[in-house]
Amino acid sequence: MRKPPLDPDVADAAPTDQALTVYDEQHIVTYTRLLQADSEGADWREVARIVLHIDPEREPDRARNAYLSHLKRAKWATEQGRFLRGARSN
Amino acid sequence: MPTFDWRSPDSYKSLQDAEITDIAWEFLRRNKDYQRDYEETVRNSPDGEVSPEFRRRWGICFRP
Repeated sequence: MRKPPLDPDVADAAPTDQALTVYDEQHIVTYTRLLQADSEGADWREVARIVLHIDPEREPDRARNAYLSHLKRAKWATEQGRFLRGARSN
Repeated sequence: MPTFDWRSPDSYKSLQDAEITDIAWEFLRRNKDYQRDYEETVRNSPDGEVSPEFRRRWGICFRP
Protein backbone atom coordinates (compact mmCIF):
# COMPACT_ATOMS: atom_id res chain seq x y z
CA MET A 1 0.00 0.00 0.00
CA ARG A 2 1.23 3.46 -0.80
CA LYS A 3 1.73 5.88 2.03
CA PRO A 4 -1.65 7.47 2.77
CA PRO A 5 -1.62 11.28 2.91
CA LEU A 6 -2.24 12.76 6.36
CA ASP A 7 -4.63 15.53 5.39
CA PRO A 8 -6.04 14.98 1.89
CA ASP A 9 -8.98 16.79 0.34
CA VAL A 10 -12.11 14.69 -0.01
CA ALA A 11 -14.65 14.01 -2.71
CA ASP A 12 -18.21 15.26 -2.20
CA ALA A 13 -19.22 11.69 -1.36
CA ALA A 14 -17.27 8.65 -0.18
CA PRO A 15 -17.28 5.42 -2.25
CA THR A 16 -20.07 2.91 -1.78
CA ASP A 17 -18.33 -0.09 -3.38
CA GLN A 18 -18.53 -3.45 -1.64
CA ALA A 19 -14.75 -3.66 -1.52
CA LEU A 20 -12.11 -1.22 -0.36
CA THR A 21 -11.05 1.15 -3.11
CA VAL A 22 -7.89 3.14 -3.79
CA TYR A 23 -9.81 6.17 -2.56
CA ASP A 24 -10.41 4.37 0.75
CA GLU A 25 -6.73 3.55 1.08
CA GLN A 26 -5.79 7.13 0.38
CA HIS A 27 -8.27 8.36 3.00
CA ILE A 28 -7.42 5.96 5.81
CA VAL A 29 -6.29 8.84 8.01
CA THR A 30 -9.41 10.86 7.18
CA TYR A 31 -11.62 7.93 8.18
CA THR A 32 -9.74 7.38 11.40
CA ARG A 33 -10.01 11.06 12.32
CA LEU A 34 -13.75 11.05 11.59
CA LEU A 35 -14.28 8.01 13.81
CA GLN A 36 -12.21 9.57 16.56
CA ALA A 37 -14.12 12.86 16.37
CA ASP A 38 -17.42 10.98 16.29
CA SER A 39 -16.51 8.95 19.38
CA GLU A 40 -15.65 12.21 21.17
CA GLY A 41 -19.01 13.73 20.25
CA ALA A 42 -17.46 16.53 18.20
CA ASP A 43 -19.66 19.02 16.32
CA TRP A 44 -19.92 17.84 12.71
CA ARG A 45 -19.41 21.40 11.45
CA GLU A 46 -16.05 21.65 13.10
CA VAL A 47 -15.11 18.21 11.78
CA ALA A 48 -16.16 19.15 8.24
CA ARG A 49 -14.10 22.31 8.34
CA ILE A 50 -10.96 20.81 9.88
CA VAL A 51 -10.87 17.27 8.49
CA LEU A 52 -12.77 17.58 5.20
CA HIS A 53 -11.71 21.15 4.35
CA ILE A 54 -15.28 22.16 3.53
CA ASP A 55 -16.71 25.29 5.15
CA PRO A 56 -20.16 24.44 6.57
CA GLU A 57 -21.09 28.15 6.65
CA ARG A 58 -20.51 28.67 2.96
CA GLU A 59 -21.51 25.22 1.67
CA PRO A 60 -23.79 23.66 4.29
CA ASP A 61 -25.30 20.94 2.08
CA ARG A 62 -22.02 19.87 0.55
CA ALA A 63 -20.33 19.85 3.96
CA ARG A 64 -23.13 17.83 5.58
CA ASN A 65 -23.30 15.28 2.78
CA ALA A 66 -19.55 14.82 2.64
CA TYR A 67 -19.40 14.43 6.41
CA LEU A 68 -22.20 11.87 6.57
CA SER A 69 -21.05 9.78 3.62
CA HIS A 70 -17.44 9.65 4.80
CA LEU A 71 -18.39 8.78 8.36
CA LYS A 72 -20.66 6.04 7.07
CA ARG A 73 -17.86 4.68 4.91
CA ALA A 74 -15.43 4.81 7.83
CA LYS A 75 -17.87 2.82 9.96
CA TRP A 76 -18.32 0.34 7.14
CA ALA A 77 -14.55 -0.06 7.01
CA THR A 78 -14.48 -0.99 10.70
CA GLU A 79 -16.77 -3.90 9.94
CA GLN A 80 -14.53 -5.41 7.30
CA GLY A 81 -13.04 -8.39 9.07
CA ARG A 82 -11.51 -9.51 5.79
CA PHE A 83 -9.51 -6.33 5.84
CA LEU A 84 -7.51 -8.06 8.55
CA ARG A 85 -7.95 -11.59 7.34
CA GLY A 86 -6.45 -10.78 3.98
CA ALA A 87 -3.50 -9.09 5.57
CA ARG A 88 -0.09 -10.63 5.90
CA SER A 89 0.30 -12.44 9.19
CA ASN A 90 3.58 -13.54 10.67
CA MET B 1 -0.24 3.28 21.93
CA PRO B 2 0.13 6.61 20.11
CA THR B 3 -2.14 9.48 21.08
CA PHE B 4 -4.42 10.64 18.29
CA ASP B 5 -5.97 14.08 18.11
CA TRP B 6 -8.45 14.33 15.27
CA ARG B 7 -7.78 18.06 14.90
CA SER B 8 -4.11 17.46 14.27
CA PRO B 9 -3.16 15.48 11.14
CA ASP B 10 0.40 15.20 12.44
CA SER B 11 -0.75 13.05 15.33
CA TYR B 12 -1.60 10.35 12.78
CA LYS B 13 1.88 10.14 11.31
CA SER B 14 2.41 6.70 12.80
CA LEU B 15 -0.41 5.39 10.59
CA GLN B 16 1.49 6.38 7.46
CA ASP B 17 4.20 3.87 8.11
CA ALA B 18 1.93 1.32 9.68
CA GLU B 19 1.32 -2.08 8.22
CA ILE B 20 -2.17 -2.67 6.90
CA THR B 21 -2.79 -4.89 9.93
CA ASP B 22 -2.11 -1.99 12.31
CA ILE B 23 -4.45 0.28 10.39
CA ALA B 24 -7.13 -2.37 10.31
CA TRP B 25 -6.74 -2.72 14.05
CA GLU B 26 -7.20 1.03 14.53
CA PHE B 27 -10.45 0.69 12.64
CA LEU B 28 -11.65 -2.46 14.33
CA ARG B 29 -11.08 -1.29 17.87
CA ARG B 30 -13.35 1.69 17.15
CA ASN B 31 -16.15 -0.60 16.04
CA LYS B 32 -18.87 -0.58 18.71
CA ASP B 33 -20.12 -4.09 17.81
CA TYR B 34 -16.61 -5.45 18.12
CA GLN B 35 -16.17 -3.78 21.51
CA ARG B 36 -19.43 -5.26 22.77
CA ASP B 37 -18.63 -8.71 21.41
CA TYR B 38 -15.17 -8.66 22.95
CA GLU B 39 -16.47 -7.67 26.39
CA GLU B 40 -19.09 -10.38 26.26
CA THR B 41 -16.75 -13.06 25.00
CA VAL B 42 -14.13 -12.40 27.64
CA ARG B 43 -16.72 -12.16 30.42
CA ASN B 44 -18.20 -15.54 29.50
CA SER B 45 -14.90 -17.25 28.95
CA PRO B 46 -13.60 -19.53 31.72
CA ASP B 47 -9.96 -18.66 31.09
CA GLY B 48 -10.41 -15.04 29.98
CA GLU B 49 -9.37 -15.92 26.43
CA VAL B 50 -11.32 -15.27 23.26
CA SER B 51 -12.74 -18.23 21.39
CA PRO B 52 -11.77 -19.45 17.91
CA GLU B 53 -15.28 -18.41 16.79
CA PHE B 54 -14.58 -14.90 17.97
CA ARG B 55 -11.34 -14.81 16.01
CA ARG B 56 -13.06 -16.12 12.92
CA ARG B 57 -15.94 -13.69 13.29
CA TRP B 58 -13.64 -10.67 13.31
CA GLY B 59 -10.85 -12.12 11.23
CA ILE B 60 -8.15 -11.47 13.77
CA CYS B 61 -5.34 -13.30 15.43
CA PHE B 62 -3.77 -12.29 18.71
CA ARG B 63 -0.03 -12.50 18.84
CA PRO B 64 1.77 -13.47 22.04
